[in-house]
Amino acid sequence: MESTDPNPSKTSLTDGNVQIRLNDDDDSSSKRSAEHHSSDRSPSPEGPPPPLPPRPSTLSLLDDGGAAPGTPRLNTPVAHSTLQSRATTAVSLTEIASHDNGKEELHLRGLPETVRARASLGHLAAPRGGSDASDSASIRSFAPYSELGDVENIFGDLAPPDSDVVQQDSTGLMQFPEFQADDMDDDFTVEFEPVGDIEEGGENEELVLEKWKAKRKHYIILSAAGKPIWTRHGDGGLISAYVGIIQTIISSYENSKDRLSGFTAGDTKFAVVAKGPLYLVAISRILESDTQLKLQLEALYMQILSTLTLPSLTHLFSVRPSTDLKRPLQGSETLLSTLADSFTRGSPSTLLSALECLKIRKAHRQTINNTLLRTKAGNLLYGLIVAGGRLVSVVRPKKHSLHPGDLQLLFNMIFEAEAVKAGGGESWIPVCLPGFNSSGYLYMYVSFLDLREDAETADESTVTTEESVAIILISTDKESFFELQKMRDSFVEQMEKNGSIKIIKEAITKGRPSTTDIVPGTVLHHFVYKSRANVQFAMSSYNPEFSSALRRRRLISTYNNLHASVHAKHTHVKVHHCVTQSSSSFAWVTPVFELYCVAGPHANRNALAQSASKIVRWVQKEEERLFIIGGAVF
Amino acid sequence: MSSRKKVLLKVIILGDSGVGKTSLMNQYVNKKFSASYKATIGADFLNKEVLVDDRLVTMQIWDTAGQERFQSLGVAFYRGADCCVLVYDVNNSKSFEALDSWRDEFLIQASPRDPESFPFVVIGNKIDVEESKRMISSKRAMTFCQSKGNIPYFETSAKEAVNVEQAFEVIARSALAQEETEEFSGEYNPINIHDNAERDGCAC
Repeated sequence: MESTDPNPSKTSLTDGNVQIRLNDDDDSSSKRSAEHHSSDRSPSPEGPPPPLPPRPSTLSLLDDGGAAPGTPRLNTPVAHSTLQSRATTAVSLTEIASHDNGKEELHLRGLPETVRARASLGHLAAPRGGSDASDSASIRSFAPYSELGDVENIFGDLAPPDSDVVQQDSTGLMQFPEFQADDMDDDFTVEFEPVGDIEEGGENEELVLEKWKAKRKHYIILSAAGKPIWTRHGDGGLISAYVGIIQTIISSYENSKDRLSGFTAGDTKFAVVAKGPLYLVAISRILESDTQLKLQLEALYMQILSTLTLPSLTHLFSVRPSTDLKRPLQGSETLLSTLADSFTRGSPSTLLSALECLKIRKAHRQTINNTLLRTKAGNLLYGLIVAGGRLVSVVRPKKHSLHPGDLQLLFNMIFEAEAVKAGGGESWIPVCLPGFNSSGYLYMYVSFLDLREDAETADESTVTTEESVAIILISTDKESFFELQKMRDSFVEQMEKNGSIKIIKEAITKGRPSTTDIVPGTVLHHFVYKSRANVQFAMSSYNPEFSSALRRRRLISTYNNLHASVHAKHTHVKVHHCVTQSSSSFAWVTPVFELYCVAGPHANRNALAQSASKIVRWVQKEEERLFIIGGAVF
Repeated sequence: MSSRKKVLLKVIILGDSGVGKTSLMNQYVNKKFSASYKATIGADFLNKEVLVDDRLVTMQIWDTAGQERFQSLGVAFYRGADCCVLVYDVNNSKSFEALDSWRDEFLIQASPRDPESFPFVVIGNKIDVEESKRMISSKRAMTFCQSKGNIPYFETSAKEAVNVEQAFEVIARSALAQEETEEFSGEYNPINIHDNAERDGCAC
């Protein structure tokens, strides 16, 4: 064997020892929950509860709500794309009161005026001149209201100038990057299967490495010293050599002022985020933008903070740069993995940095809010009712907002990682919500509502994630378990009495509406609507078009594409239409909302745009049911 | 604290070019030796799992380039090492005289918290070469090691696999000891809800 070959493939293990997979540790829920109870988390001395940070007063989100609808707001796409960890007032009443007046106008004004449409077209076609065009102007250029002849030109002009847009034929089909999965069978689930262990003797080493390399997505977290901390696939031993190389590559840029943030090799994208003593790396062969990959890495970092808190993390590495962080993080790997998998599967919530709510009538939500307020424990900070990742109700102090990034971590822990759920009826978990305050723990009481008709006969395993309803009560007081437990009991009791539990249950059973429920006969297969002021989104059912994991991934990739196009730096795109061989898709962005929708590849453009417009009207009509506007504040 | 989880130890091998750093590592990890010389570019990484007193540890061995022109990555390589192995060629006095500056270089770059107690191991390699060519006596090497705070010293042959295992066992042991000096434990503040039950009862 050549002794000095730097090729990493030789560096795998040949010493004959059995590798123990880290991700596969059978971190059974009971163990996990035991860890939580014993608070096996951080070396930081348990100080007083973290001080509540002042509520940020200048948030772009707030501005959105208050701004006139005509104000061009899209020239700050970067700010919006990093919303994930920003504070939001998504559920506060006051900040979002005043924008709905202009909304109706947006799509009703000047409908048939082709003259105006042409005029605005000029704006869009002119290089950079379009930035001054008011939103209403560009929206008027929106396809369905102009004559057919114009439509062709409009979309031609709106195509991104830099991409490899090729006019294929008279229908104006554009070549646009697609999720590269058409060459594969419908086997996206393989992506999430373990690569297995290297056997004693190392006979299957090649096979394991091959499986590892076949993954379309990798996440690797390492210390600045080059020690592997966590990897989605394989274990520290398998990837150790790669980790060394990654550390070397990142470090070689360290001294220059221009840090490495990512690179591309063939069809593979590498994104790098350096956070103090940690390097986080995403490697993706799925169609995702750099920005999205970085947001995902930021979220993984937040998860680590959520387990350790920032001061502990900093302390560990300042005392000892060689810290093997795997041990302090022991037990929380599952959380990182489920979070990573949700990114790989594709989640509109992550893409839009927004939350989804359970659709119920305004009065019903009001009742639940009031019940929460009435039963509120004295030391409650936040109270959340969440149905399978969809928010039902929120109660919070007036001075403190909720951060979508924090909620994403909580929902991941509670609904995806399953650890909490299986841990029994109630859990008491110290958790750091880094968006709220990264320096200390909050204490979270979680309990699941029993929605089954007959608790005796129903099978425990039939309750799916979508169907489970969690009551999450958060306090800064670590002694408040019993107080919160009592609050939960009286809350549930009152909810039973006033029929709210039945309402939640019905809403869950009903599920999301399909596009044809909203617009009968529509060409649209799916849509996602984000209310920018509320930092919430609504979407149609994945079924039947996107029920498989692969199809859903493709859908999200299509949305990724649209989202990246309309949020690209220096663009002021309001409407974006894109046709590929498998779908035609459509994005429409205003200061108030972002709408993304997808139809079949041969969908008529007019029909597409008309349906989109109807969807927007429907959402605006249903706004107070789809979104939590206000929420319960004390 | 439970040692269910393996410990990962970062071990750095330093020394002049051509003294046999890569060969030592390959002999230890892969039980292989190649007589042909190829300079290491930057660094190579190999992993080896070993049992140290019933404790399973993974040694992440960083084999660095001895040639100066490949040394630009200094800090990055040295940072967070748990043990540093200094290698020289017993038939090459220049490589022995360089040991001190390699050690200083490491201490400056890695700046461990307690430089005095940071574990080093010195290896004199290529003892398979005929005795007449030997330039550095065991005595001289051991005197040097003693003067630097009793650094463990081994004479090895990567070619004939002499003493390599033994040297790396001490390396693993030293690294583990260094790693464990501030064991991550005892600083938790557990929340025991049952205790609370007795104390608080219902706090309402």
